[in-house]
Amino acid sequence: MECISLRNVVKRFGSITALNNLSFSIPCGGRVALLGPNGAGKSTTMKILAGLLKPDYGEVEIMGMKPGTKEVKKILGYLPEDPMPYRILTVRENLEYIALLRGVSKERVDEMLDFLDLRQYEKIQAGKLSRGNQQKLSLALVLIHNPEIVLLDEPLNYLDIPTQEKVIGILKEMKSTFLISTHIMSIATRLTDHVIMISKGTVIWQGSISELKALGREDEPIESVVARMMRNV
Amino acid sequence: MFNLIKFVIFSRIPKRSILFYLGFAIIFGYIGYISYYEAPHYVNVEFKYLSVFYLTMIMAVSPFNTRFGLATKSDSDFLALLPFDDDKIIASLIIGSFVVNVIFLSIFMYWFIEALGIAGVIIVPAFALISSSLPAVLYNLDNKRKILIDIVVIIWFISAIFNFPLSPLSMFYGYSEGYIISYTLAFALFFTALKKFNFSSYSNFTISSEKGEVKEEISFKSSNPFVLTLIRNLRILEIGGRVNWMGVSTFVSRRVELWKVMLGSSIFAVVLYFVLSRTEDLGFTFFYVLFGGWFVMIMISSAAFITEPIWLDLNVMTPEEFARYYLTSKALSIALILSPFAVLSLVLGYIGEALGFVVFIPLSSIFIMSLYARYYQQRYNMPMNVSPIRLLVSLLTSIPLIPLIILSFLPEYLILYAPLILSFVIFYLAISLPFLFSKSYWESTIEKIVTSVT
Repeated sequence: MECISLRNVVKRFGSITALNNLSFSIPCGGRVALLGPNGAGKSTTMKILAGLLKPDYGEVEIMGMKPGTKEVKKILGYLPEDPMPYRILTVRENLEYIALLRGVSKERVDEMLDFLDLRQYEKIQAGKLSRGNQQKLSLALVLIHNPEIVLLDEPLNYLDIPTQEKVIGILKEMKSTFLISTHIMSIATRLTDHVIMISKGTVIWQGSISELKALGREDEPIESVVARMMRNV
Repeated sequence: MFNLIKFVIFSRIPKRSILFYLGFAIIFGYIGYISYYEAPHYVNVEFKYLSVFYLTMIMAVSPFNTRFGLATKSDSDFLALLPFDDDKIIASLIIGSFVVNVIFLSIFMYWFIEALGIAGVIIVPAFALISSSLPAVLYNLDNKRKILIDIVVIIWFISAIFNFPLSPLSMFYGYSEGYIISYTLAFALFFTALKKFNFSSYSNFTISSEKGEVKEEISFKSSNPFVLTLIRNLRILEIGGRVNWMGVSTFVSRRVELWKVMLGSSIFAVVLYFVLSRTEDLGFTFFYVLFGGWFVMIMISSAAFITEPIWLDLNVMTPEEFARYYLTSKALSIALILSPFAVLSLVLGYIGEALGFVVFIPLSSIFIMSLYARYYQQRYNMPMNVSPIRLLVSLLTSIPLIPLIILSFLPEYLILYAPLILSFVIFYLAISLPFLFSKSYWESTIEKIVTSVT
């Protein structure tokens, strides 16, 4: 079964076409990286899937439902690039607030505090946290209800290396469907097994990480392969 | 130095907007000038009140600029690193901020002209310099000290109404000392700011530290999304943040105890009771009490959506649900804050004004916040650029004030006439309720927010 599907999606902002007949699908349980140069339409795609933007044309479905509906919100977690939680609430208050809105138990709040090493900051206001800790809190808020579908836009931004490893471990353990937008190939290779590459709002290549690696020379780094593919569009 | 000042000014206001403002100021200033000589005396008297009230409020809120007037994060990150002496950068920031404040204050110059004649033009630079220098003088004080100084400033400025000649606003009551004192104060603050303000210590001061735990946590004990949003909005007081027709730009965001805020407004209402119960011709004066409530509402509405993490709200709610809960809870918190003044109105026999405080003003806030969300987007730490469109939106926000003015000047026995009061209720419901139920309005507003500011 397909958990995420886009068919011929077009999105324009004035005279700029952000997405131009974009089509792809991700099976349930799939782990896919969304790659593309700056301005390719990655964040727009994520926002459409999260229900924050509506496509001008085309069909978008999350487990057969329209994005943005209550049913989809229950099973989806979306993390934008540079997220900021409720800046005046403390770490714990942020988590408790979202947990109650989602109908999640308070024990889960404590679990998330421990999972992401946020316990020592639980009484600190989110706006006063370092950028890295704000990113950790945002991840905790997105994952608190154990979503079946996870959309992450540059999830490891600002995180130090030990925390990156911890987050990678947490995400790998989850059985959800993942779509991760990133510029960093090492994140794509460690967190996902498939790649969808877009440029100018259209899919230019899709396949498994191993197929992507096979496109390059034996000693060629995967970043170089991706850069070549993006340049050749 | 000239180039630095130019840079500071144009990074805040686009050139076209400056021309728009100046054009606006000249046209309205001219109308005010003609009106000053032709309008009945009581109109000039009202503008004196209005000018004193307005200038006092602008000066009082200026020290609470969280980021030193119009200094932005980009200023801290880049401007401070330019190869210039700190003194030059600071002077440029204050002078740039002064010019910007002159432009903003010019929009309201016609009030001062209506009150003082052509002399109303002269006072603008003095108060622009005070409002741009005061935050730079007080930037490193804690809030308690700022509030103490503010109380002194408010009493000193307002004392003009009681014919105190040494008030910086005494010129409105016929004392030429006011001009001398306001300019002396402005230059004294300017030179103190130049001496005292230090860019690197300011940067250190504004860098957030991960220390400082919150003593009293907010207890969210409901699963109802409206109740949760209400609890959040009752415990967080946010004011300012957008430049509206009252010129407010300061943004303050604080955790508060609701009972403390209510206690503050209750004490103020009690003080007002003792003052007003001894005042003759209360009808006219009481309008200013209602106008004060309107001002509080404008300040709170101006802060709407600025720190709101839309991405997070919409992870759990649909756009119209989020807007409905957010706007209703904000309106309720405004009603609660203003409720002691509604009681005051009832005690003094002003039933219409009582309704104004707890029904009409909160409903107006829904209209204003909805317009701001879509047509005047402002995010935390973004420079407060003002465009003609934004000013136009700010002017539109004064629509709900018109019936309120009519209400406050109606004879009290008319308020009891059911069809009349019903027409007021219908008006305020008509401008607010559609925003609470319009799915398409909020879907496209959210789309605008997530594509223009993140």
